[in-house]
Amino acid sequence: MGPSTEGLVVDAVSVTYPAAGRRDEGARTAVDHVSLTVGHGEVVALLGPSGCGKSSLLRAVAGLEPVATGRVVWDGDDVAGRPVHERGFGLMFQDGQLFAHLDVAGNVAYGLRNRNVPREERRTRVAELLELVGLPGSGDRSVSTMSGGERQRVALARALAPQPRLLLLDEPLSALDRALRERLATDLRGVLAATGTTALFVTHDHDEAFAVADRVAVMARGTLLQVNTPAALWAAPADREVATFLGYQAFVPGTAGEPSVAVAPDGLVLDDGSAGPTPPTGRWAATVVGSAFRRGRTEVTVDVDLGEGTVRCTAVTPSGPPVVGEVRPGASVHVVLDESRTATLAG
Amino acid sequence: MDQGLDRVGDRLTTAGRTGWRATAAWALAAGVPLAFLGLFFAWPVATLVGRGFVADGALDLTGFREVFTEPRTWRIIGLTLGQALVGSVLSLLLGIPGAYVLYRCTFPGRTLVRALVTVPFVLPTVVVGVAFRALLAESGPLGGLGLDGTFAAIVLALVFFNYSVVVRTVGGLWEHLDPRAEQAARALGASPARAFRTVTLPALAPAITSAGAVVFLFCATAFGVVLVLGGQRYATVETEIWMQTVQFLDLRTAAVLSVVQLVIVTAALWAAARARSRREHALALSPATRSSRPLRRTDALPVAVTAAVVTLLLAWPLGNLVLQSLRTPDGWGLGNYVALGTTGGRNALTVTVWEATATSLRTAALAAAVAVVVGGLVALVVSRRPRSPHARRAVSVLDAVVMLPLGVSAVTVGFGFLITLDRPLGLDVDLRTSGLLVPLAQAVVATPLVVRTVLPVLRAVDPRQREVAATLGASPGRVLATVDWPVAARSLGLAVGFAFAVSLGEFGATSFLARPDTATLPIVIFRLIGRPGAENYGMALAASVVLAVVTATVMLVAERLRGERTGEF
Repeated sequence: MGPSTEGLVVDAVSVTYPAAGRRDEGARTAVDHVSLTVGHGEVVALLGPSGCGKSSLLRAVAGLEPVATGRVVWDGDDVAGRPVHERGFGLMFQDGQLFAHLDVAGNVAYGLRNRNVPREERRTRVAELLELVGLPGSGDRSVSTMSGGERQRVALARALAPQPRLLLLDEPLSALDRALRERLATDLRGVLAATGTTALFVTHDHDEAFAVADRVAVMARGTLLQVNTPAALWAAPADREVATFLGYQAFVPGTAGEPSVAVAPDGLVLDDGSAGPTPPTGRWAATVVGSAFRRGRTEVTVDVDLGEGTVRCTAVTPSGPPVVGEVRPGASVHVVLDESRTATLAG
Repeated sequence: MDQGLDRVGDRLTTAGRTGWRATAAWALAAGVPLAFLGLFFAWPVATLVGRGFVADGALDLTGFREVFTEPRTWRIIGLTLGQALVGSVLSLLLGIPGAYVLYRCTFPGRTLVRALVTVPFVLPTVVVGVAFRALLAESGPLGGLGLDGTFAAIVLALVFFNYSVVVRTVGGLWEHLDPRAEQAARALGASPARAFRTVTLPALAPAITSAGAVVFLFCATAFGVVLVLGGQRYATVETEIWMQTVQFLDLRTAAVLSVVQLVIVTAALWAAARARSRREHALALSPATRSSRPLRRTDALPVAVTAAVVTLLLAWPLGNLVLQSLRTPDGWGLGNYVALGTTGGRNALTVTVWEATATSLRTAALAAAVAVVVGGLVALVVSRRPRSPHARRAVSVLDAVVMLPLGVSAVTVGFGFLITLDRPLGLDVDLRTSGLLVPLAQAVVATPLVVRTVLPVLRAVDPRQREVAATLGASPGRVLATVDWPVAARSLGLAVGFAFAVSLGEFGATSFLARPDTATLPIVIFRLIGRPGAENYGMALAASVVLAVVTATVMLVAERLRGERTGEF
């Protein structure tokens, strides 16, 4: 058996939804011949804007949506005929979907009861998992008294309890506020690593995808655009669409057949005016729109033409004291690239 | 290659097997209620209606011409629509302030008043008729007004009966409305009246139309109330069907009137369904907020209206009923209650009232059991949203079909039973003598209520709860047992109570089917009030109190079993 049959193999899978109206025409294709692998112990993020088909693909893997074409294979076995409850794939939703009529321990033990795990073992396992997700001793709490973050921790413990072969996570952190999301992303990464769980993780937030996943698959309009490790993806986005989705804010067109350069959010630097010769990457005149002091330095919003017409970008001030006086709205300034904060597009 | 083909074959059979099993289970769940309603509802009703159209084996529509050329028919239709319209408009006008006071404001004793407002709706129609009779009859405290046997008396009783429907339907939505929308309107310069008219009222509109349509339906099909209060002078389509079949044995006229009734009812049901789908939509948009606040001086008008309705229209007739039941020819005392152990003056009855009470309880228990099984299965099937458009359409058809018994006159059902179930399907059993007919007919009447109680609760279960359970290894059966059942169980308790109460008070169908020795409490009351003699009248009042107490107790117990209010009524 070659390595390609290990773990999850999604092979040319399509998912279609029947038309809502009376006639059968107009069925919508949400996922269009997508192929993807997730190796044992690997965490792969499906990153894409809402409506790109990433959740449909996740549901198809879980067995909640029928597959229109292609196969879903685990360790060489096609799981097509297996109903959801026999696949051994766990699932965690955005809003947790905890069972309100059960307490925390009852929720976590739910999957263990389905497998007739003896009571003592169940109790030990529940305690272990609650410890693991940072909620030790809260087994007899009611889920209705918990905060959003705590609920998601319980949902994670519940999904992990039956030791699923594969854990599917559908935007598990999206419903939480920013600070909590960042902390939970780190915790999630830790828990998945500690349990050696194989996971497929759906998100629309690139920071979250990068924080949690070993590899990131960028998806749009039902197809995969690019799959790679976060570092490789960031260093060489396949095309503008991927780069835009990863957070690159603008593009400098390549000259004489050379590929374009994508500019990161902090890739434009305000030229302090005292500079000598124009750097080889270029130097552009810009008009200040506004400025804000953020994270210890001044970020200036400018209108600038990098070669493809005027676009609105953010430029940072060079290190040193803030230069607020010079960046009144309407002021003319110059910007240059910070080459460490750009990426050359592959295509 | 061969191996590959084998694997494909394997896949097809596994997928085919599980699919087949699931389909069979759902077909059974849908088939049992359909078979029940087909045998005990569609067939008897169709047979009865058919008798009106078929003469000597050929289609004969002359019955329609004859009935519609009678001025009496038009008078009856006019009166039916008139009393339903006046009754529902009055219920809405009085009920909306009531909904505000009881669901949007807090004050000491609110729970008690809410419970009191609920009582009339579950009271048997015969009891309501008797209670108003006791109030308006010459011997009663309002005898001087001469309202006994008038249109006004019927309308008052209908409002008494339906006030709670409006209060609970509208109030249920109102307490979930986010008060911040109205506060935003006020901050934008709208006066309280304008904010109410432009923000709150439109948000309540679906509940108001839904309540209006349901009340119209109840008023248009009222039977017991009209029969007790209207006598011969005020007939509605429903009582006329009864009159034509029982008194004049004119099946053709009765069948034609049944069709008229069906048209009226279908229109009201259609309007209710449209309003309901809009309401479910609206409810999904607004989060459940606890938005009650203490009463203020500006609430004086709705408080005054509600206080007047609750004391004069609701409490007084009931209090008066209890009071009058304690009045005997020899002064005040429990004489009328002691007489419940007898068969009445001049042997008005074949059984004692206590025996009839036992029969009622036995019958209602059986009917409730049947209705909960049938209605529960329907609610389960209808709560699902299948992927395939065809299956989805089948589900919505089933949803509509089981509501039909709400719309067909119970009198029609009862009489249909009599003419079809002597030897059902050619089998050599006469169901009429087995004592099963009454509970079966009552179950048919109660089934739609069970569906309407359980269905919203099951629909409120997020489908992803079932999905998450499946990914945790729960088989479809276990998903039902561990996700749907814990949620539905509480509403099922309420559904049992509802079905039991409805069966206890059922009068239309039972009046045809109960034999003298198996008469239920409402039948006995109706017989007593139709017989001369102060003794029988006093017994009728006492028996009404007994029936009211039993029914109210059942409903209060059922209400206790319910948590958050999500049902239809």
